[in-house]
Amino acid sequence: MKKIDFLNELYNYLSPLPKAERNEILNDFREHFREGELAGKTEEQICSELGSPFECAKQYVGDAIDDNRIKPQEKKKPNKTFWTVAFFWNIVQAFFSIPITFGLFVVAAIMIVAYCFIVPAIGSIAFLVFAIASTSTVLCLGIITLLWTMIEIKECIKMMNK
Amino acid sequence: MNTQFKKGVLELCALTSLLSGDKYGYELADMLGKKMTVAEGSVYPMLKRLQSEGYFDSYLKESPNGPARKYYRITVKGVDRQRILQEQWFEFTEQVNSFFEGVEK
Repeated sequence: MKKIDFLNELYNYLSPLPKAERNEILNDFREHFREGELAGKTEEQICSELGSPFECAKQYVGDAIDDNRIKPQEKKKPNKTFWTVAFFWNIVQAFFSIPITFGLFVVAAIMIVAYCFIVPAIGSIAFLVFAIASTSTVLCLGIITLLWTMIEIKECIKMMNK
Repeated sequence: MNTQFKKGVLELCALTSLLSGDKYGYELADMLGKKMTVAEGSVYPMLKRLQSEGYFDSYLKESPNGPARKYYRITVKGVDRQRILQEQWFEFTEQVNSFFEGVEK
Protein backbone atom coordinates (compact mmCIF):
# COMPACT_ATOMS: atom_id res chain seq x y z
CA MET A 1 0.00 0.00 0.00
CA LYS A 2 1.20 3.52 -0.78
CA LYS A 3 1.21 6.47 1.60
CA ILE A 4 -1.48 8.35 -0.29
CA ASP A 5 -3.83 5.33 -0.23
CA PHE A 6 -3.26 4.78 3.47
CA LEU A 7 -3.98 8.42 4.34
CA ASN A 8 -7.03 8.59 2.09
CA GLU A 9 -8.52 5.43 3.54
CA LEU A 10 -7.82 6.56 7.08
CA TYR A 11 -9.44 9.93 6.39
CA ASN A 12 -12.57 8.24 5.03
CA TYR A 13 -12.91 5.89 7.98
CA LEU A 14 -12.60 8.84 10.34
CA SER A 15 -15.65 10.49 8.80
CA PRO A 16 -17.72 10.39 12.03
CA LEU A 17 -15.23 12.84 13.61
CA PRO A 18 -15.18 16.64 13.16
CA LYS A 19 -12.97 17.85 10.34
CA ALA A 20 -10.42 19.58 12.60
CA GLU A 21 -9.89 16.39 14.58
CA ARG A 22 -9.53 14.32 11.43
CA ASN A 23 -6.87 16.68 10.12
CA GLU A 24 -5.02 16.56 13.41
CA ILE A 25 -4.93 12.77 13.30
CA LEU A 26 -3.85 12.80 9.66
CA ASN A 27 -1.00 15.14 10.59
CA ASP A 28 0.26 12.64 13.16
CA PHE A 29 0.35 9.96 10.49
CA ARG A 30 1.93 12.28 7.91
CA GLU A 31 4.67 13.00 10.41
CA HIS A 32 5.09 9.27 10.96
CA PHE A 33 5.57 8.71 7.22
CA ARG A 34 8.01 11.59 7.01
CA GLU A 35 10.12 10.26 9.88
CA GLY A 36 9.96 6.72 8.53
CA GLU A 37 11.17 7.88 5.13
CA LEU A 38 14.01 9.79 6.79
CA ALA A 39 14.92 6.56 8.56
CA GLY A 40 15.25 4.98 5.11
CA LYS A 41 12.01 2.98 5.00
CA THR A 42 9.83 2.60 1.93
CA GLU A 43 6.18 3.70 1.92
CA GLU A 44 5.05 0.07 1.70
CA GLN A 45 7.21 -0.90 4.66
CA ILE A 46 5.85 1.95 6.81
CA CYS A 47 2.29 1.03 5.86
CA SER A 48 2.72 -2.60 6.82
CA GLU A 49 4.20 -1.61 10.18
CA LEU A 50 1.30 0.73 10.84
CA GLY A 51 -1.32 -1.94 10.25
CA SER A 52 -4.55 -1.41 8.36
CA PRO A 53 -6.12 2.06 8.16
CA PHE A 54 -9.39 0.53 9.30
CA GLU A 55 -7.88 -0.81 12.53
CA CYS A 56 -6.19 2.55 13.18
CA ALA A 57 -9.39 4.49 12.58
CA LYS A 58 -11.44 2.10 14.71
CA GLN A 59 -9.41 3.06 17.77
CA TYR A 60 -10.26 6.72 17.27
CA VAL A 61 -13.85 6.34 16.24
CA GLY A 62 -14.87 3.22 18.16
CA ASP A 63 -18.13 1.57 17.22
CA ALA A 64 -19.30 4.63 15.31
CA ILE A 65 -17.02 3.59 12.45
CA ASP A 66 -18.84 3.46 9.17
CA ASP A 67 -19.30 -0.25 8.56
CA ASN A 68 -20.26 0.35 4.96
CA ARG A 69 -16.69 1.19 4.24
CA ILE A 70 -15.26 -2.01 5.67
CA LYS A 71 -15.81 -4.06 2.55
CA PRO A 72 -14.45 -2.75 -0.70
CA GLN A 73 -17.51 -1.44 -2.44
CA GLU A 74 -18.95 -4.11 -4.66
CA LYS A 75 -20.10 -3.02 -8.06
CA LYS A 76 -23.84 -2.96 -8.16
CA LYS A 77 -25.14 -5.61 -10.53
CA PRO A 78 -28.21 -4.67 -12.54
CA ASN A 79 -31.12 -6.73 -11.23
CA LYS A 80 -33.90 -8.58 -12.97
CA THR A 81 -36.12 -5.51 -13.22
CA PHE A 82 -33.37 -3.67 -15.06
CA TRP A 83 -33.15 -6.40 -17.70
CA THR A 84 -36.91 -6.70 -18.07
CA VAL A 85 -37.14 -2.98 -18.73
CA ALA A 86 -34.19 -3.27 -21.15
CA PHE A 87 -35.91 -6.15 -22.94
CA PHE A 88 -39.08 -4.18 -23.61
CA TRP A 89 -37.11 -1.09 -24.48
CA ASN A 90 -35.22 -3.09 -27.12
CA ILE A 91 -38.45 -4.42 -28.58
CA VAL A 92 -39.70 -0.84 -28.86
CA GLN A 93 -36.41 0.12 -30.50
CA ALA A 94 -36.59 -2.86 -32.84
CA PHE A 95 -40.12 -1.88 -33.81
CA PHE A 96 -39.07 1.67 -34.61
CA SER A 97 -35.97 0.52 -36.41
CA ILE A 98 -37.96 -1.73 -38.79
CA PRO A 99 -38.46 1.09 -41.28
CA ILE A 100 -34.68 1.50 -41.32
CA THR A 101 -33.78 -2.20 -41.43
CA PHE A 102 -36.57 -3.06 -43.76
CA GLY A 103 -36.01 0.08 -45.80
CA LEU A 104 -32.33 -0.79 -46.28
CA PHE A 105 -33.24 -4.24 -47.61
CA VAL A 106 -35.80 -2.73 -49.99
CA VAL A 107 -33.26 -0.23 -51.26
CA ALA A 108 -30.72 -3.04 -51.72
CA ALA A 109 -33.28 -5.12 -53.63
CA ILE A 110 -34.23 -2.19 -55.89
CA MET A 111 -30.56 -1.49 -56.55
CA ILE A 112 -29.86 -5.12 -57.54
CA VAL A 113 -32.80 -5.22 -59.91
CA ALA A 114 -32.06 -1.79 -61.35
CA TYR A 115 -28.40 -2.53 -61.95
CA CYS A 116 -29.28 -5.81 -63.64
CA PHE A 117 -31.04 -3.75 -66.32
CA ILE A 118 -28.69 -0.78 -66.41
CA VAL A 119 -25.31 -2.54 -66.34
CA PRO A 120 -25.79 -4.60 -69.52
CA ALA A 121 -27.15 -1.47 -71.19
CA ILE A 122 -24.13 0.70 -70.29
CA GLY A 123 -21.67 -2.18 -70.38
CA SER A 124 -18.96 -0.50 -68.36
CA ILE A 125 -16.86 -2.53 -65.86
CA ALA A 126 -16.36 0.55 -63.64
CA PHE A 127 -20.10 0.93 -63.30
CA LEU A 128 -20.44 -2.79 -62.48
CA VAL A 129 -17.95 -2.41 -59.62
CA PHE A 130 -19.80 0.68 -58.35
CA ALA A 131 -23.10 -1.21 -58.52
CA ILE A 132 -21.81 -4.18 -56.50
CA ALA A 133 -20.10 -1.93 -53.92
CA SER A 134 -23.06 0.33 -53.27
CA THR A 135 -25.53 -2.56 -53.13
CA SER A 136 -23.45 -4.58 -50.67
CA THR A 137 -22.91 -1.53 -48.46
CA VAL A 138 -26.63 -0.98 -48.09
CA LEU A 139 -27.19 -4.69 -47.57
CA CYS A 140 -24.50 -4.89 -44.88
CA LEU A 141 -25.99 -1.93 -43.00
CA GLY A 142 -29.34 -3.68 -42.99
CA ILE A 143 -27.85 -6.94 -41.68
CA ILE A 144 -25.84 -5.17 -38.98
CA THR A 145 -28.89 -3.28 -37.73
CA LEU A 146 -30.91 -6.48 -37.65
CA LEU A 147 -28.22 -8.52 -35.87
CA TRP A 148 -27.55 -5.78 -33.33
CA THR A 149 -31.18 -5.61 -32.31
CA MET A 150 -31.42 -9.40 -32.10
CA ILE A 151 -28.28 -9.70 -29.96
CA GLU A 152 -29.54 -7.06 -27.56
CA ILE A 153 -32.89 -8.78 -27.16
CA LYS A 154 -31.22 -12.17 -26.69
CA GLU A 155 -28.92 -10.72 -24.01
CA CYS A 156 -31.90 -9.29 -22.17
CA ILE A 157 -33.72 -12.64 -22.22
CA LYS A 158 -30.61 -14.38 -20.88
CA MET A 159 -30.22 -11.88 -18.03
CA MET A 160 -33.92 -11.98 -17.17
CA ASN A 161 -33.80 -15.75 -16.71
CA LYS A 162 -30.82 -15.58 -14.35
CA MET B 1 -1.01 -11.76 22.79
CA ASN B 2 -4.61 -10.80 23.50
CA THR B 3 -5.31 -7.32 22.12
CA GLN B 4 -7.28 -6.01 25.09
CA PHE B 5 -4.55 -7.14 27.46
CA LYS B 6 -1.86 -5.69 25.26
CA LYS B 7 -3.65 -2.37 25.09
CA GLY B 8 -3.45 -1.89 28.84
CA VAL B 9 0.19 -2.87 28.95
CA LEU B 10 0.98 -0.64 26.01
CA GLU B 11 -0.35 2.32 27.97
CA LEU B 12 1.98 1.50 30.85
CA CYS B 13 4.92 1.18 28.46
CA ALA B 14 4.19 4.52 26.81
CA LEU B 15 3.95 6.26 30.18
CA THR B 16 7.14 4.60 31.37
CA SER B 17 9.15 5.48 28.28
CA LEU B 18 8.22 9.14 28.71
CA LEU B 19 9.52 9.18 32.29
CA SER B 20 13.06 9.32 30.94
CA GLY B 21 12.35 12.33 28.74
CA ASP B 22 10.08 13.80 26.06
CA LYS B 23 9.73 11.83 22.85
CA TYR B 24 8.16 12.45 19.45
CA GLY B 25 5.45 10.29 17.93
CA TYR B 26 7.57 8.27 15.56
CA GLU B 27 10.09 7.47 18.28
CA LEU B 28 7.35 6.07 20.53
CA ALA B 29 5.57 4.24 17.71
CA ASP B 30 8.81 2.69 16.47
CA MET B 31 9.94 1.63 19.92
CA LEU B 32 6.59 0.25 21.13
CA GLY B 33 5.88 -1.34 17.76
CA LYS B 34 9.16 -3.25 17.78
CA LYS B 35 9.42 -4.18 21.45
CA MET B 36 5.77 -4.97 22.02
CA THR B 37 5.03 -6.33 18.52
CA VAL B 38 1.94 -4.19 18.03
CA ALA B 39 0.81 -2.37 14.90
CA GLU B 40 2.54 0.99 15.04
CA GLY B 41 -0.69 2.60 13.91
CA SER B 42 -2.32 1.72 17.23
CA VAL B 43 0.20 3.82 19.13
CA TYR B 44 -1.18 7.14 17.84
CA PRO B 45 -4.78 6.60 18.97
CA MET B 46 -3.44 5.62 22.39
CA LEU B 47 -1.25 8.72 22.62
CA LYS B 48 -4.21 10.88 21.74
CA ARG B 49 -6.39 9.20 24.35
CA LEU B 50 -3.76 9.51 27.07
CA GLN B 51 -3.36 13.15 26.14
CA SER B 52 -7.09 13.84 26.33
CA GLU B 53 -7.14 12.13 29.73
CA GLY B 54 -4.47 14.54 30.91
CA TYR B 55 -1.56 12.12 31.32
CA PHE B 56 0.44 13.71 28.50
CA ASP B 57 0.69 17.04 26.84
CA SER B 58 2.27 17.78 23.50
CA TYR B 59 4.23 20.56 21.86
CA LEU B 60 5.86 21.18 18.50
CA LYS B 61 9.61 21.45 18.23
CA GLU B 62 11.75 22.08 15.17
CA SER B 63 13.68 19.04 14.01
CA PRO B 64 17.22 19.28 12.60
CA ASN B 65 16.07 17.77 9.30
CA GLY B 66 12.69 19.04 8.13
CA PRO B 67 9.43 20.27 9.63
CA ALA B 68 8.55 20.43 13.33
CA ARG B 69 7.95 17.25 15.29
CA LYS B 70 5.17 16.71 17.80
CA TYR B 71 6.71 15.86 21.16
CA TYR B 72 4.91 14.25 24.05
CA ARG B 73 5.62 15.17 27.65
CA ILE B 74 4.30 13.30 30.68
CA THR B 75 2.28 15.37 33.20
CA VAL B 76 2.22 15.07 36.99
CA LYS B 77 -1.05 13.20 36.62
CA GLY B 78 0.67 10.90 34.13
CA VAL B 79 3.51 10.16 36.52
CA ASP B 80 0.97 9.17 39.18
CA ARG B 81 -0.85 7.03 36.66
CA GLN B 82 2.38 5.32 35.64
CA ARG B 83 3.17 4.49 39.26
CA ILE B 84 -0.27 3.01 39.89
CA LEU B 85 -0.23 0.94 36.70
CA GLN B 86 3.27 -0.32 37.40
CA GLU B 87 2.30 -1.39 40.91
CA GLN B 88 -0.73 -3.18 39.50
CA TRP B 89 1.44 -4.84 36.89
CA PHE B 90 3.92 -6.22 39.42
CA GLU B 91 1.13 -7.32 41.71
CA PHE B 92 -0.59 -9.07 38.85
CA THR B 93 2.49 -10.83 37.47
CA GLU B 94 3.43 -11.92 41.00
CA GLN B 95 0.00 -13.48 41.45
CA VAL B 96 0.18 -15.22 38.09
CA ASN B 97 3.70 -16.47 38.76
CA SER B 98 2.79 -17.86 42.17
CA PHE B 99 -0.21 -19.53 40.55
CA PHE B 100 2.06 -21.20 37.99
CA GLU B 101 4.39 -22.36 40.73
CA GLY B 102 1.46 -23.85 42.64
CA VAL B 103 0.30 -25.76 39.55
CA GLU B 104 3.73 -27.15 38.78
CA LYS B 105 4.17 -28.71 42.23
